[in-house]
Amino acid sequence: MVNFYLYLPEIFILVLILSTLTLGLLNRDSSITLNTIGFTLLSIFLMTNGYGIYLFSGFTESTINLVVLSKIILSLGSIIFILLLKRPLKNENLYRYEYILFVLFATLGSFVLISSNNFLTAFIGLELQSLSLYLMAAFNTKDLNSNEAGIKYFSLGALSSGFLLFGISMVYFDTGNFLFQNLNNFTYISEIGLSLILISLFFKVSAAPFHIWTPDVYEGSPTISTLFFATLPKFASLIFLFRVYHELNITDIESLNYIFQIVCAISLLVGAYGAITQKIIKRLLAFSSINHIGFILLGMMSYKLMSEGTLFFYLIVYLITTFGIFAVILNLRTVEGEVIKISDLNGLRFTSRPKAIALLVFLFSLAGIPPFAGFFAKFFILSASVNEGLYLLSIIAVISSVIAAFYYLSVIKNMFFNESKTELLLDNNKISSVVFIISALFVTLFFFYPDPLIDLVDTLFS
Amino acid sequence: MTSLTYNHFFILSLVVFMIGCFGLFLNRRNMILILMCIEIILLAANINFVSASVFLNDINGQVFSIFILTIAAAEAAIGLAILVIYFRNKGEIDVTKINQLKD
Repeated sequence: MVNFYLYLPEIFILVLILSTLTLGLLNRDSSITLNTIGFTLLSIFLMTNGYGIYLFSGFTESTINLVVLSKIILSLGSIIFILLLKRPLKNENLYRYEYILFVLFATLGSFVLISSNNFLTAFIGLELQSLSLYLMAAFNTKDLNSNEAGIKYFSLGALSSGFLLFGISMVYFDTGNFLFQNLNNFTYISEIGLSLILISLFFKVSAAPFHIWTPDVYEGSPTISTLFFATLPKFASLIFLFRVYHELNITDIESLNYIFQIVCAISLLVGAYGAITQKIIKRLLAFSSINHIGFILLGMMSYKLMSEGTLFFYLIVYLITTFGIFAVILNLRTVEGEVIKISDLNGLRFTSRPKAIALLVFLFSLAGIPPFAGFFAKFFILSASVNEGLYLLSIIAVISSVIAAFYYLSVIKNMFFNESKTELLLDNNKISSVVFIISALFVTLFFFYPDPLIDLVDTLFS
Repeated sequence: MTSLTYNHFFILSLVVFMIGCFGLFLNRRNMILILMCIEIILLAANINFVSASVFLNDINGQVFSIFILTIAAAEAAIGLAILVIYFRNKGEIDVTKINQLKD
């Protein structure tokens, strides 16, 4: 008999999608309210009862913790995103109710992906997620840049899912199984298959040799979609990548371990060097995210001594900082429209001091400068990887974060010391103001009051 | 006379996969051809799944291949939709002209 209790969060999201489909036709605003309430209920349910859902799923205890915590984070992130999306879409004349549906489908795909226990459900979840993302990239149908971003994302993304499928089929031939716990005793055929699967996952999280789509798609798509690409689906794919790495014991397979290390090193370097010459904010953030993916991969390789907590802490800090940066950017406009170039931020200090200070806090945190949360995230990962014996990769990580500090600081220089040429308009959007203020407070206050987050991560993963 | 073994099917699917990949990279002109190449890659995986499922005597592979067929259809529909809105703005679908976004 099928145990429907196991699929309760997914079924709940499906019900939300169906009711949004009907309700959204009548009133677009009501679908935002509905989904906010729905995701709040879902996150409360997962917080109180999450562990119980997966008790009989056959997962190990640490996997259950990982799955439940990442689902809670995903649903909280969806609440924030759904509340944020109205104003930016209205500014671009794109406020149509389909957008919320794409967000919901992508979230459903992420949920399925995170808790999948075999490659069939993982594939379906990944496709559900990425098909919605292609549409979100091309959502501004009147704008050629957005269409082009959609085409690029689609053609490369579909190629990567082809790789994923072919890899799965090779693993299936070798072992006769899709279930993660039954996959062992690999021969060279499934090693090739697994490397194809890893390549496709690296593509989805935009790790370095497979990152070509990232800057273009980030630049071309509407800013609110870029925020989504950079946070929630990427988070879900990273959790799945971690589960594949962890549960298929990729550490023991030497060739795949090499692939992991090389991809990590290249991501760190490409993320650092690629961003130096960029003049467009979203391209800069794309390269910065590639650099952070490198750090996260380093954390994945050295999770053994420090438990999953280190990795998770980094992911949470990265998510909050990204949300904050985009909330500030969405809150500003120039005369022509969205803020695009870095030089558009010139003189932000004179236009709006709180926003300039918040952006400063986020960029310092991304660069890893001590009093902010980003420093501790990088510090934990580096100390774990040194303990693990990954000396070369740790050195590369430190060097890359020094180079990265240069371009973060140059943005700060633009904001604080340059005179503004174009006039910046303030788009006084209450929700995104609240989001960036809360994120900035989190990033700053973590130093003075670190216990809640550390305790949370510790109790869940000890 | 030699009978067909799994290896023959595997080599067939590998060849089809390669045709798809090379078609994707060598084709410098038409966007529609890219869509066709992606379909070919997905079908190569399908061949592999179905033949492996027959030789392993396990039904799961065939179930997977049916899922792939439906998802490939959805993927093609979405790809064509994006292509249509692109064509409406640009007036052509030449791959070499898709270069507005770059440093």
